Amino acid sequence: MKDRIPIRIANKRAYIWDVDDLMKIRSEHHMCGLLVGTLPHLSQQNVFLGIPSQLMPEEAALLVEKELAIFIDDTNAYPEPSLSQFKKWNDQQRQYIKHQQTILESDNIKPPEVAQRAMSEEAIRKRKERELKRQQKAQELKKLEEQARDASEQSVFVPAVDDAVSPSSRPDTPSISAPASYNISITAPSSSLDWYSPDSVSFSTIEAAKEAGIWDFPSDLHDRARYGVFKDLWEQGFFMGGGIRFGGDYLVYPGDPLRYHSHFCATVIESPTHAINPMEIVAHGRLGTATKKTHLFCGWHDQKKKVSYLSIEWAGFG
Amino acid sequence: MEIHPSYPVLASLVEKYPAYRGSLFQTYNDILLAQQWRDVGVLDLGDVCRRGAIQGRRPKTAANADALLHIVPCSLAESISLAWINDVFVALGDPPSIYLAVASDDSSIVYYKLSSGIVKPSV
Amino acid sequence: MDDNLQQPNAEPKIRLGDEVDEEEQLSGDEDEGPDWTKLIPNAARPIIPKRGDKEFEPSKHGGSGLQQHILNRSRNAMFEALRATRTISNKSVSYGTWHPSLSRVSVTISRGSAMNSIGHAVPREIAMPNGIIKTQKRLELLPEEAIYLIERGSLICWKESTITEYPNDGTFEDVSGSPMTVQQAYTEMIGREDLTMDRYQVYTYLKRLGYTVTRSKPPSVFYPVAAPYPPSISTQLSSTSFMKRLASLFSSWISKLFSPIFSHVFDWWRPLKISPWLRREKNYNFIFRSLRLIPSGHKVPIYLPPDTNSPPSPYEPFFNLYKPPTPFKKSAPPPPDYQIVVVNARTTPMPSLRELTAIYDNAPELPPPQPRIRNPPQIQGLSYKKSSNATSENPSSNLSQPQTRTRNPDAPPEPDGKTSKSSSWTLAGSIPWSSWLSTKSSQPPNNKAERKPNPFAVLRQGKKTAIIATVDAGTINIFRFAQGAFETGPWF
Repeated sequence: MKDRIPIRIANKRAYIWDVDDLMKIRSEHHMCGLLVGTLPHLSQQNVFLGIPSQLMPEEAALLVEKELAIFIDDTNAYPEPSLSQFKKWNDQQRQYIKHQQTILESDNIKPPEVAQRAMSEEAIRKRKERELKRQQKAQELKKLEEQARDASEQSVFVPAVDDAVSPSSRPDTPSISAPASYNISITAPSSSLDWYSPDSVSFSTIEAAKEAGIWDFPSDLHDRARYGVFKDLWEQGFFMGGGIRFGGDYLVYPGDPLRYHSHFCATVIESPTHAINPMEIVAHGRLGTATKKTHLFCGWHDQKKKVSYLSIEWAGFG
Repeated sequence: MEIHPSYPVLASLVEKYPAYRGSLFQTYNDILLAQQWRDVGVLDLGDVCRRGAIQGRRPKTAANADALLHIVPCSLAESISLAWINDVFVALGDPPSIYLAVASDDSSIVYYKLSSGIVKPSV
Repeated sequence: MDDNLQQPNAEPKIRLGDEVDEEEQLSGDEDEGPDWTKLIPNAARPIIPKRGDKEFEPSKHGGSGLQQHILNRSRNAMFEALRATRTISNKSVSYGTWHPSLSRVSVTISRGSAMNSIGHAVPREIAMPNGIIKTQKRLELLPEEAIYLIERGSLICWKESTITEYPNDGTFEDVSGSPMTVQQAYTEMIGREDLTMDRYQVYTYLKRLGYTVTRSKPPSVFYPVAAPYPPSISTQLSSTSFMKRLASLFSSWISKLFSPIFSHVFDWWRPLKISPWLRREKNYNFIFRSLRLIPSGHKVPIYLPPDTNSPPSPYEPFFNLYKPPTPFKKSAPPPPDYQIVVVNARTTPMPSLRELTAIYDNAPELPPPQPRIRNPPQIQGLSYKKSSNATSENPSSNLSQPQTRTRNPDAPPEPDGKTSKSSSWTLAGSIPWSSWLSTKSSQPPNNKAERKPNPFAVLRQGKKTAIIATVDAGTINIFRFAQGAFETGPWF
């Protein structure tokens, strides 16, 4: 139980919040999840997202079935911190701020040229270019910004604080002296909190989690077919990702998707007798060929708990 | 259809499986005349699959031209299943792959290669 | 970040440098002061790993030594980026309190431009320090707004406690409960006030692109309702004589075509009545129209079967979107630029005609697309590139493009606060509507009226639009459905 990966469940979705767990899932269990959080400091882009990683229900269920992970009912893992727990946490935050001040002071002794010299010419050139661009932008923005201010000011309410007010001028925040500006950190995973208590709300089987009402996959034939296919391909060593972009259920990779293209787009077919429209074969086959993938029809036999595969490609003629 | 030069070859299958005569006739002519396959013949897939199939070799210029390939015609409008495709493989003696000819009403026809099992794309 | 690469311990060989220009990140910050994160080693900015070219497959036995090596470096770069600490300057951070009973976060200290378009005012009874209860307006956040702000590092959120009074020793400007992690915010706030994970993901996706996003259906009486769409475009642009002229031109011309049909009693046996002297009837349009026996077009109401107690449709717009350049006033939002439906891809079937029609009925009629020739060629090229990067930025240009994580290295539009406005000209260039509006005044109207819009562009755009985001275990795809107008258009 101890070394199993905690999968945090909230609203019947499965999340991984600790980077170490994510590393383990990826390199040891060849599963990827999907990063869905906003990356700190790069919060205006969708190219690379951050923690948490949302697991497909198939991934989460399989990790638990294989006894590699446990479910945590995250909703009930937060008792109120006691006063002493809070004080301890508060002290840590205070230490963090103090730590910054020490670094800052030691850094300030260095003349700024040192930092400059450490940069290559290329970096300096780039920086200058950026500086120039920024100035141009700033001019363009000024007008627009004023308009926006007008619009927003009417809707700012009671305790709004002007950006320029320094903390020292506020009556209730006098205690941190020296540099008025410092960083505050906002923690992502709850595992660092003293009062976070997942142990009493952990479930080591899918059935137990279902009984507790926090999880429901797989629930019907459709889910069982998906899960059976996912498991079968995963056991063959493939990496699996969502396939909705290519009109399928999964994308099947021969290795880590970071480095390899997917070979297959897989569609789950609930039973061998399930009707297939020839147009589906045409559509999948054609898209697959255009994207250098083979389309896989994965037929699930619910009685035999077995999967049969059919690979589809354009014939190359006709 | 009856007066077409291809008809004598297909006659027995057309009579036996009248529901699939259209796609069989269309595919046979396309393979023989448009795709220019060689050694083209027809097969009866038997009682389980209940239709005719076509076998032949691709033109000499094609890659792997000497392999004997199997083509199963079907119409765009019909509904098939994985179980049926599996039966076709069995009836043809479990070849690694077959070609499914999908024929539509406007007489256009497309071919897709179906392989049993997980066959990765060629590089 | 190129600074990081210049350090001797960096690994330039594998090209880990990210592709997002530093400018993008700087503009995301509110503080204009020194950049503290650069001074603190463990709070370094994350570096987006460059993906590099993928290979076809690993060689036998889990990949060659080289393949394994490259994979490990890629993975390490990725996990390194994920470990970045979420920090914010004390001068930029806002504070709030999560009230589970209200499903709202009340803002106690509000700072930064992110707040300009987020939150709404609610009068609440608040106990003053002297014990008197007073009704006071305060700024409150919906769950999605609060999580988003916490996640982007702009808001410190406390969870209201009814039992414990947590002391404030001055480390924080405000302490109003127990501290919440991002994880706790996800766990406790999603599932409240109709917010699902799918909806939250679409919300943040759009916020990261710079849109202002509000609820389509007010969750409470205090939530400001967006102004309704104007009845038609011609009245909306009442001052622009050109639009009026065009509209009147259109309608008179159509009624001219229709008049022979309506003025005479329709004769099923002789639908085509060509009088020997009227010239206007001697053309294909007239003949085709006369021969159209079955009524067509969206003015014809669709058949609605007697209500059979069907469950509410999942295809109801959930969010209102405002493009970054659209002036937005929190307390009185203008009509939204778009409305978006969010559905779970795994459980929701395709929308029915009736569901789509319901969306179209509430949507504004789109102006005809701008003739392509109006755009100078270089801007056209640019707008094409833009729209293929992020469809939702210009949903009317693509039908079904894969959305979220296309991992496109080109910088996404980055419209938060200040920078958005500077990029507005590119947005304008890529959005038919706005370019139509922006060029209308500068172009001599007559010119335009003469040139009919490209019929294919008109068909492609349609008259009404429905934008639907589908979410499959985290993967977002945004689709645009359009109500085609085959029965009228420039081909007639």
